Amino acid sequence: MSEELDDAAALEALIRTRADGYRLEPAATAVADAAALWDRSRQRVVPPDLDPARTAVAQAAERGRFTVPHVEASSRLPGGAAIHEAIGRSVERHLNDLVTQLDAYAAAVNEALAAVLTVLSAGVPHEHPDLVGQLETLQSRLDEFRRATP
Amino acid sequence: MQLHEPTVVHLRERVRGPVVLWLVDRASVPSALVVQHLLTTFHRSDAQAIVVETEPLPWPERRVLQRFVEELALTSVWLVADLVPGQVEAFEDRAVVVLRRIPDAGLDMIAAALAELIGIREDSCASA
Repeated sequence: MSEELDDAAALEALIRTRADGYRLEPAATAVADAAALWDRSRQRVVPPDLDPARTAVAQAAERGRFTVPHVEASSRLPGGAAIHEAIGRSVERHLNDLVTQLDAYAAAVNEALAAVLTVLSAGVPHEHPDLVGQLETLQSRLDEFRRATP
Repeated sequence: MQLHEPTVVHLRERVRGPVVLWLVDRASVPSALVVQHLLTTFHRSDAQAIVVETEPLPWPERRVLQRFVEELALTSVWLVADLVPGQVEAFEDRAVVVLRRIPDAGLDMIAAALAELIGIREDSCASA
């Protein structure tokens, strides 16, 4: 078939010539029923609110840099400041590697959180079709029961 | 464009009955589904519909459509989201009717006219 083929005009031509012949009351009713089903379908699919999660992930990313805390070296004891500085430099040397590891870990965690957020934004609806089906069956049985009960 | 072979085989081996191909914008997809519902309910129970999403849909919208298909109990609809090269051509090759827009008429009228057009096309194929 041609890429440009569109049978919409052919249908419109048929409808113009036989409109009265096409009138079918149950079909018109079915259109109204379908409109109601469409509304119901839309109401049942509610996208999750991801804004709080986005804010939390952004805040975590901002806090994801670690530093070695500054230790006050002043001392009232003679030579105490020099001892503090020497110990501080020694501890800092050990902690620098740890901070580097923590930074790398934080960056990886932030990337993971961002990836999870992306997946959630793309859509993983939490729904149990089997349970929904059972509930609908029960609902229709209940409706039948109500109709049958005077 | 070469036809997508797996689609051709699937349509030949698995899809029975006349195929109506819908290549419409996202706003028209619900109407296409209703027309298919009316077509199979009142006119041609064997009719199949292939509804191609011509633009990517965000998930809530797609889920609503899937939900709508379930609500209508439509088992004869193929909602195609991710096209591969040659697939539309394979659909067109198999389709009896191709629609690129919703005809300007009531949906019940469209369904009735669609049934008639399918019949006309089938007769012309049979006599050819």
